[in-house]
Amino acid sequence: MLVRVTILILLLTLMATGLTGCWDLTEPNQLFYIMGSGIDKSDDGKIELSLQVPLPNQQGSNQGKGGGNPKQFVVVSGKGKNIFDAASHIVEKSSRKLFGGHRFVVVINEEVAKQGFTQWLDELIRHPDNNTRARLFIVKGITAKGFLETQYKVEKYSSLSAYQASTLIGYNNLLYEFQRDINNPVNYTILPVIESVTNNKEYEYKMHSIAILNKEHKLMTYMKDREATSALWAAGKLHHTFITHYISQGDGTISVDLRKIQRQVKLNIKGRVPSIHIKLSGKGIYTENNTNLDLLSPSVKESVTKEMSKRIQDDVRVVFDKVQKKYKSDIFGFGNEIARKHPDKWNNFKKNWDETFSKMDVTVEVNLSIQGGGLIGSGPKIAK
Amino acid sequence: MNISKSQMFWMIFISEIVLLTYFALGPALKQARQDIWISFIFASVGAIVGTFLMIKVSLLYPNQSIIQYCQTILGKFLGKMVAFSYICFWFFISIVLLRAQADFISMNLLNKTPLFIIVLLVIVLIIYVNWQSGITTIARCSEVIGPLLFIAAFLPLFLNVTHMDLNQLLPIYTDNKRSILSGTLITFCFIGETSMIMMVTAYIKDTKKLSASILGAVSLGTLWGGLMSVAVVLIFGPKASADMYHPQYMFMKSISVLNFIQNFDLIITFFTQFGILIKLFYQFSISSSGISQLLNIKKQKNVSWVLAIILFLCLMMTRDLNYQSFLKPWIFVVFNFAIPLLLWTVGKIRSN
Repeated sequence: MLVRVTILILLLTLMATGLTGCWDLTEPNQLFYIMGSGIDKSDDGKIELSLQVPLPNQQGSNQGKGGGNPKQFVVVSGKGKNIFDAASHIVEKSSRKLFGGHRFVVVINEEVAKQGFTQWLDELIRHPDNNTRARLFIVKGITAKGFLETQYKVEKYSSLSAYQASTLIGYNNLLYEFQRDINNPVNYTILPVIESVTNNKEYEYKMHSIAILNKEHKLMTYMKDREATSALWAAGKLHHTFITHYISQGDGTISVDLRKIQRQVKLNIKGRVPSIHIKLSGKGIYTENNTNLDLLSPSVKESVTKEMSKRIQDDVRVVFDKVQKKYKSDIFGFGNEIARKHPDKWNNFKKNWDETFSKMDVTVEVNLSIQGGGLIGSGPKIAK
Repeated sequence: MNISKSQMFWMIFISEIVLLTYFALGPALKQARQDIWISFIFASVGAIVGTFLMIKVSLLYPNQSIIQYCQTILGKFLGKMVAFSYICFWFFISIVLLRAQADFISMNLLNKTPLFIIVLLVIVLIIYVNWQSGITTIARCSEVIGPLLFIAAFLPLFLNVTHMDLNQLLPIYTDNKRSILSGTLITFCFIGETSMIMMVTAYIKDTKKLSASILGAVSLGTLWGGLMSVAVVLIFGPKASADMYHPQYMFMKSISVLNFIQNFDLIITFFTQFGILIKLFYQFSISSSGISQLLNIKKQKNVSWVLAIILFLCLMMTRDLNYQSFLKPWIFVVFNFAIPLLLWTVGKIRSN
């Protein structure tokens, strides 16, 4: 009886020491939590990986004598033949393990993008710790390392700042969505661009352009401002946007904030060259009225909405002409529609889709549905 | 040893979910790509027919497990051969399951622990469960773990709806017919793996509407598998999902609700560990009770000991679980479809 109890207690103690797994512990203060990764081109064919890592809170307040807050992050970088090689060189200089499970952004320099960067995304997807919800950006006017090192206004970390700004501009590209897009039958892709400008010795960034990648996922060209908005809307990737146009009825500008944006595509593939009718629709409110028109009256609202739709239609028309004739790249996903809904006919079109796309007949129809105009009708009258 | 119908339901359901998560989704997606839902429909038909045959043949001889009625139906020698092959099949599945679980824990959770400690701890647990009351304990555990796994399996499907792109399921049925067929075979291997019911039905007292609960479990598990694989294709696209080792894990990692509920894979891993333990327990339990019935050994506890030691040795001899190498569908088709069909027809003929 006593022997049994002793053996049992011994066995349980042995098992308990085995079950805790203490030797396999990794404390949070042994990890570098990567917030943003940046990929730059380095000399002799290598790439430089930069990682933005937050510093833990300093003990007590640490205001420097010259004013200004000390940086709450640090950027470590290393060069290597690929991402993992560069990361292993970073580990040589750091005191903690790298952990990429909370990554916000992946920033890619335009030089690297011009040469093709999709092979560097392998490590970001393969490692079980990494999260594929990180957002991809192409950075222009500054190196990725420079972007991560700069402390922009307001936010503490530039990667967090870019992450939040991308929600506001209405278009962002998550890593797994990008992976889904590059595997489509027609794989031209669009990525948002962070452009860095210097303004009186202060660094600022602007997200007003998009980058178009060609079939080999290399950077082809940029598109800015209104062209970018129209292209994204026609491609069906825009979530929300702000548009301002000159309205001739009132001899002034009116702005609209579109919150719900959709696109519908109607294919017509009879004949050698397909034709497409696109319906773009948006729901929103009027946000600024610099005319004397009374936006509370339904008839005025309707006619202004019609004119606004017409102007947006002209914008999209211009973008279509440009993309079709000049770039000949199907960034709008029309080929994907054909490949998915009419796969037998896609076999005929597949071989020289670029040429066929450039000859396609595209008609655009924009339907806005503006629900309100804020609190007032026509605002302060403009003396004419 | 007494098992109720609802305990049976949960045991089968756990087995379906666990096998689909760990083994079936990856290779099936690689073959069938975006037509995976067609493979699931065909495979579920096969699984339901196979399971139905197993239930019918077990109900022809109530209170007898397969080891016993196999000898009655096919004669002494052939019956013993078939029964022994079933025991080897169940033991083989326990080796594979234990290796999969130990690999998963060792690679992702406990990196520095040597493998044999993890395996040893699980084997000690298996022996303890078998000593207590064998299959009854396992059935009671599964009644608790089953609903947890139900929530853990179905909830993430609805959390990720905003990121799904419905166009990724098209074009339907344009690729090779052969790829849908191989996807079907692979899926059937795992969702049809319900051969334990031929052993365990002997312990169920009230067998009215038994087939309803068991087939209900099979169809619920298959439904989940179909939904999950379709969800993976909708999020990642067919080409990227074919490339994945563990599609459900990647799906969980991409959930982000209100920018707050993220990294869901940790919770799911926790629950699936319970599920795989249950399946492992009863596979081992039916192997050891099978051997004790075959060789007419009274004390089943000694058999459990010996079998546990054999399991440990077999496991230490395997180098790596690359399940592509043992994924020969014909083994599963024979044990889960052909042999029950044979037993049922011969049994029917004999009883008439």
